[in-house]
Amino acid sequence: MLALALMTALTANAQWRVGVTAGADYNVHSMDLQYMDDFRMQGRWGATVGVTGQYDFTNWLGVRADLNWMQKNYRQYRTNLSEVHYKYRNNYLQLPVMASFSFGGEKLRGFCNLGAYAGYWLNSSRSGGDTNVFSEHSYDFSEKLEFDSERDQRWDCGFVGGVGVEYRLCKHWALQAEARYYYSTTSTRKQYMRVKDYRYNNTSAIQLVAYYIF
Amino acid sequence: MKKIYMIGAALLMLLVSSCRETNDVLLPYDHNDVLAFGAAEYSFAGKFKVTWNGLNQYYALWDYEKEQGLDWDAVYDEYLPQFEALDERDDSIPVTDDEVKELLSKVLSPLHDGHFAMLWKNHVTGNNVTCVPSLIRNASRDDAEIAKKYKPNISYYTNPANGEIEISDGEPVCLEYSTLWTDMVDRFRNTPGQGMMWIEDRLLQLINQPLPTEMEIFQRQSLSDLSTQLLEVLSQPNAEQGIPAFNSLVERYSYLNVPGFDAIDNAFSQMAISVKFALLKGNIAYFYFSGFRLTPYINEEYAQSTFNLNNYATFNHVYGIWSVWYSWFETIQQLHKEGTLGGVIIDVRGNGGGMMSDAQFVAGALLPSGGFQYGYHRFKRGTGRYDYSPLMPAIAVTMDDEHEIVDDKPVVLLINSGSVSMAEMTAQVVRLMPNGKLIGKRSHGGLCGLIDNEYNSTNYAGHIGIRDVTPVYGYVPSLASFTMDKEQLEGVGISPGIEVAFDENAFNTPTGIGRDTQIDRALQYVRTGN
Repeated sequence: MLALALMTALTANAQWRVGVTAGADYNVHSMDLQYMDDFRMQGRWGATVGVTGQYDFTNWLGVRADLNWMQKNYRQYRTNLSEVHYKYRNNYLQLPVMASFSFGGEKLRGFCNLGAYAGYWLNSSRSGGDTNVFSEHSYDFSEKLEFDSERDQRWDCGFVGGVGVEYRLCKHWALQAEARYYYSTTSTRKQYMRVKDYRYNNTSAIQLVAYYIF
Repeated sequence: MKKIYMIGAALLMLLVSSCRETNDVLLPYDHNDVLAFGAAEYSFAGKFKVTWNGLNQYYALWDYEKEQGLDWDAVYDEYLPQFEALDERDDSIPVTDDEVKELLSKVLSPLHDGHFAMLWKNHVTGNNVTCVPSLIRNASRDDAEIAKKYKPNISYYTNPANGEIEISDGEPVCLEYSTLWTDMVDRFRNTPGQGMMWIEDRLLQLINQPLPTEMEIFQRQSLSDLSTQLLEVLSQPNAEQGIPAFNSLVERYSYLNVPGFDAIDNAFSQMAISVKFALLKGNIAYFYFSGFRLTPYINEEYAQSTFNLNNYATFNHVYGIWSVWYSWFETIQQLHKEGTLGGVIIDVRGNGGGMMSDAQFVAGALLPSGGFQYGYHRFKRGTGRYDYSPLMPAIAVTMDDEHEIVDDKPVVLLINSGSVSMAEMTAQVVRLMPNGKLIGKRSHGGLCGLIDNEYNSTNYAGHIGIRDVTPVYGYVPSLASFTMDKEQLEGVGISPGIEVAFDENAFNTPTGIGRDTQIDRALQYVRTGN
């Protein structure tokens, strides 16, 4: 797609733009629960902020790259053990690179982004409640999780796509609102044992972007 | 144009969704699942796969084992072909129990958990083959044989002639009782005027009768039959076989009215215990108990639900145990209030553990109410190898009722390689007490806990299969135990602050039971502080 864009004759509308992004994301962590039928996985909201740059080849096609800090949080609880409930907080640094297609008028335009991303799992923590049946006590806890190099896959990549609208404030400034979806194709677990156990993040985001257009 | 976009979108979705891998199917091994255990009924390779996969999902110590150098996946690759070879063997060379045990031991002996046991049914011989890795590991300990051979015997110390016992009203202050099968047999055989001694005396009487009546002839014959059968029953090695056989004779020969020939409550086969109390010179309160099974004897509610207390003989046994513990406890209360308590020695050598609630009657009877944190527990929280809960405080139960807090006198716990589980938890408690000291030899290394309920695997740990039902049964730790420093000692044990060996020669003297060098060292520490 990018190659096609590059082969297209550049028009007089070719231009750079840079911006900052901020928004919220909702992540769902998929794991095969097998026969653990009392487990429940729930999505959680998180935040995302970043910087973005876009080069528009034409007035309808550009290439965009972001550098985002993004949270991929989720919740896990047990219906058989009500005292057990965990909230995971995971911070990632991500680099989505997308082709950006836009359409519409001068002031108000629609757009669609499609591409891939690479990311790195910066850190992880969890909080919640658990129970010690031997001591017959339930506890609230909050802890940082240490990565295990054998088990945890810290590199993340996948596909990303989004749709949104842009409002051109003036010659050099524009605002965007975008709904985006990250589909991870990398399991958060390495295959550290002969029994395959893959777990994936699925993250939706709603973000605002303020652009300066050169 | 629209169709092209739609086909393109569909292809894109297919491409995207095919980028994710599919998990292996997991089978549940915590109950008698036909799919999980089917192949294990008739195949050694099937049994091995159940064992390997069951442990892979339910064993709580994989991170610890990894630190110890164990590669569990490599174990699968190495041993599956060996079990497959057993399956392929010709029927003319049957696979023996010893062969199965040897191979199974090689698979499991690297595992460090001190409680873990695996039981396979050898489908060729029909026999059960058991492997307990901690027994294999501890067999090489320098006190392993001694810990098995000798149970604490304080007869030297309770003999007033040896000057080690406090005397009150001319009597040594000591008490002991036992509901262990071997001790009940011993009492039945050797109590004058009761049991076997009465039978033998009566038989002799009847044999020497010059002109016996018909009734006396009948009684003599019956007593002779009873005596013969009793000799066989009383030689049973364990309560599980002995008690039902004994009770059967009680029922059959009740008309003979033999004193002390009473049915034994079946609860004593699981809840038997031996206890000893002595107030040693210097007002040192010594207490020994063979297992953490005090609760059914001390807690009234528990006693009512465990034993048939309406039976006079049963009530006496329960009272016998309770009164020994109570003598120890009450002596401490009294002497500590008066300010004359010298110290406390609790003996858990050879004690294999048991009920958590017992903690309040032992070390917990010396500590403030409200519980005592002795470390941390971590549970399995899923079927992945490293799916764990956070570390949670491990709290020992302490006595709720008002009692003396013994924080100003030495408290010694005697341990050895036969001290397991709750005995080691008690060691963790005493070690943390400012006035506590561990004396003896390093404990067993079985600090992780197990859940007794065979159907409770809500932690995705605890059991593989069902005992005596599935061809593979595993008793698996439900949790990992950590010290207050967040160290794991599983398979290693707790080292005493003062290490001292048990001297067999000092104990087994030509004139009888002699000194116990570990008790001697404890007494020295309590009396001198060294």
